[in-house]
Amino acid sequence: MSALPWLLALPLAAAGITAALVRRRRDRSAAALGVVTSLVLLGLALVLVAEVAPGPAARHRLLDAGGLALDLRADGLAALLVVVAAVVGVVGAVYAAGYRRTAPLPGAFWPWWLLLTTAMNGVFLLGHLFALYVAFELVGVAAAALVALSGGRAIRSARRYLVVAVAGSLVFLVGAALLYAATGTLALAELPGQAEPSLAAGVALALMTLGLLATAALFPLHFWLPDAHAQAPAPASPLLSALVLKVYFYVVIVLWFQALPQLVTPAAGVVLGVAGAAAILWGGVAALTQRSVKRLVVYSTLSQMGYLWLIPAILAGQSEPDAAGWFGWHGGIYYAVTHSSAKAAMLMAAGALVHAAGADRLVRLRGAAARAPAAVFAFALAGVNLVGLPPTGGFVGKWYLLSAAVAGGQWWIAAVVLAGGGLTAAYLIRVLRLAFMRSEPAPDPAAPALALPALGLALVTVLLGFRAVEVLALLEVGAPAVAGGAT
Amino acid sequence: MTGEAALPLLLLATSLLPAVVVLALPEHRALARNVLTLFGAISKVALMAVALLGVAQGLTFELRYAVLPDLDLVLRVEEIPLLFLTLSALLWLLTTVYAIGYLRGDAHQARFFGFFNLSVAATMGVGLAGNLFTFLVFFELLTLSTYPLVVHKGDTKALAGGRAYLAYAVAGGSTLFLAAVWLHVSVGPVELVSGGVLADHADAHAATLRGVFALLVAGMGVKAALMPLHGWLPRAMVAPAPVSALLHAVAVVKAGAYGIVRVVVDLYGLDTAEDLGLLGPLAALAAITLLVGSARAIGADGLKARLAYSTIGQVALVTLGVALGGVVALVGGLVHLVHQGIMKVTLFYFAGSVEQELGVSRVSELAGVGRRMPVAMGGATVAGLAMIGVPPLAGFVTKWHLALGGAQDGAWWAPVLLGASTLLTAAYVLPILHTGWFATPAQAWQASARRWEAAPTLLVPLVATAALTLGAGLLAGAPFSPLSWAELVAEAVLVGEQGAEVGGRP
Repeated sequence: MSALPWLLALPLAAAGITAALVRRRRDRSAAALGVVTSLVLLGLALVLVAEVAPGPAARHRLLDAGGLALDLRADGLAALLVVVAAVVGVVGAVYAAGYRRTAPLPGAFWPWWLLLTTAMNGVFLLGHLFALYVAFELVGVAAAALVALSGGRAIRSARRYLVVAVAGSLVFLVGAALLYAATGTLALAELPGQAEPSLAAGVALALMTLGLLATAALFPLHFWLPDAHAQAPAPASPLLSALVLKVYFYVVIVLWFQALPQLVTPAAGVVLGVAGAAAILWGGVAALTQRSVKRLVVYSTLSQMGYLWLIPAILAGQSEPDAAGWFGWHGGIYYAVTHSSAKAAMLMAAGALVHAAGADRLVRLRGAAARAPAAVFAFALAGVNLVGLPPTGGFVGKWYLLSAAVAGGQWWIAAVVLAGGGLTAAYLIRVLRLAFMRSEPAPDPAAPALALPALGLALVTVLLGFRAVEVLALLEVGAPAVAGGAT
Repeated sequence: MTGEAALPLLLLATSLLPAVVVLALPEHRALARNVLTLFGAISKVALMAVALLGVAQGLTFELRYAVLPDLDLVLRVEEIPLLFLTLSALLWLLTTVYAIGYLRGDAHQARFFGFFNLSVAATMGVGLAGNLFTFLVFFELLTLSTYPLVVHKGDTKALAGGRAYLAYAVAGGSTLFLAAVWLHVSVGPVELVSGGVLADHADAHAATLRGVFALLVAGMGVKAALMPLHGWLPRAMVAPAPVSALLHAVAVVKAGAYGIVRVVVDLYGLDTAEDLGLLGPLAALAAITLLVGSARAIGADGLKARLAYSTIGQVALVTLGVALGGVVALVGGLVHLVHQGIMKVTLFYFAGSVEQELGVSRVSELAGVGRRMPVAMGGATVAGLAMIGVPPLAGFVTKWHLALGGAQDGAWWAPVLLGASTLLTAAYVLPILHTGWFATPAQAWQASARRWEAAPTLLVPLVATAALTLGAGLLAGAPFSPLSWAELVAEAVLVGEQGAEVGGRP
């Protein structure tokens, strides 16, 4: 019995039940169910890894009626991302359960959060482009709903987010329809053999990519992101910043390098890479000018996500496996994994600090290291990961990204990777400088229920810095040919 | 796990575990904190004794752990690392005692001693690193774990100093990072082995190796405060005295110099580095740093600022030792790793003691200190004279080898340079001694004195390191003295070089 269908069915069912519970004002039960569900999901995710790790990719026929066959499938990359989502999910649920005891958190958080989890797992596991479109719509709606939970100004930001998500999905759908016209199939597994390079197929891929980039907030399509992510409730921001954006990134690299590699040209890869580089620099500089803690972290997300978009610049248009391709693929994905836990930890720590300080203003962090040491330590550790320093997973990711740049002779990528690290260090120092200041009066101590989950996730990033072998081995299952995969 | 692998791990764990526990302990548990930290420091010194005896008998202690498919974390106890590790373990124990006394009654001690222990762990890792990857990992960890110590006072000046420190260190770290990756991609995984390992690649990758070397020296030069990368050091002087003592004598600055030594001797190999034309520029850089650093120390009135500029010059002597390229000079450079540490730490203990006891932080205010605190002043005098190079103290042993080695290898300018440096050193040390002993005090301390001399926790470490400074010079010929160990290392390097030549180049 495969774990695949349960990874969708369980959170969906839990979403329904929590919705009913919240309706009857039984928020505590909803929170308990949310935490338990996230724990079971983590177990299921690990079962999936055990299924996939020996190879080949896991597969499960979900639906086979009326000529429509719908598969769930998971290669190493998909399984890894499901685990990452589950780990962040567990810690996020514990954090949210702790948060609702110290601050108001609408009960509706739980059903929307579980629905978001269902939809994200759907994107990782569904093997059909139309099903993916449906999953995108769900991700967009659930994520926008989470933002709107804050009320007030956040509702406007949520609306703008929803418009972008729906528009992006529609552009994606048009692209998918064009692709169907050109190839006669939308099943990811069948596409590699079907799509001949043609204008129609090229335009189809371009449209799908464009739709995904808008919702992934790649520079310069990021205009909606800072407000939406910063105004979301503290327990929701980590999920949005750490996980949701990666969903779109995942689909782009699956389309580009696994489903339709024959349509991808080096120039297109460089375009994405340059946009990624611009995001790294722009996001970093913008983070240096923010006056609010959460906005600083959100601009950091904008910057860090840029690293992932360097992968296409390294891999695009190559057909032969080479060292640069291997380094780029593995480094980029490892960076994505470690960014997820680091960014979630950072936002949780930021939430704890903001809650203790009583206002989301950077200057209020003065003296925080003395009163809220665990939260500051978690924030700093996550920041160290983002800078790319040992002993964290971010260092491993950057080691490979730099290796890819050097091996492929793309020195501009090396320069951007290092410059981004410098900018990250600069805005991290802004926070630490204030936190280490001796000041009276110091902010209140942060609630342990908020600081400890953040610290836990930050320590996960340290773990990722000491043991990358198994994670990289998992990625070999179903890796694309340019990254040294067997297929 | 075998005993050979356990030793490096224990050397790390004796400070890593106290670090974690101390950080978790509440602030008021001072006794538990101090006992634990001291226990770690004492065990580490005992472990070092085991390591010294073991390596002298030809044992190797190595721990290997795969982080990435083609990259291991390697911790290895060898000859050159032992010089650095023994110095670190010993001075750390003394400085722990000193810091406990110095910070008594101060706030945030749990954080301080937590990161203090973490810095020791990082320094141990830097010392034990068996390849460039491992070195990089702990080198960066050293930056991160020392930042909270530098900004400990939490005032605007301390935070500004901390910012400068991090900015320089992160830039240097990035440079080093790129160098390590570049080397790894070009020639594959390479270890740090006595005699060097890159001889085989010197012909095929000459340009790459030159580029990598420049980046490596730049990256490590930031920590080693090679000019013009020294800007952070005087600003980081705002740290508490025991931290400055460690930063200058063992941890940060010394780690940079140690890194340069290992790159030249254990990665490239002296001969290969010479063949690639890398040592000349390095020697020039060291010479400029030596002269300019010493000259700037003369003008500084702040005692700690003067010592900071002095460090810049003194550590350059280590770099000069490897850059001259001969075995005798190498002995001088290696032995100075230890000598500079014990001399400078003594002077910083002195600076901290007079600041804590008398509130004096300027050279011009030292008048009468000799009468008020004669033992501390005496220790500082020994260290100061040793730094100038007065025989038979530690600094003389260093300078003798450097000058002799330079002259033997045809670097006629080396003795001249060392003569000039000696004059400059005298010019900034002697005023300290003269004012302290002979000038008439402007105000009367005796009236307000709580006790004669500094507190015992401050005085004992000072006397101990002053005695070491004396001993390292007087007993330089004895077995296990820094000099005899450095000679042992140089011999091993020579053998390794010949081995590499026989095996590597036809």
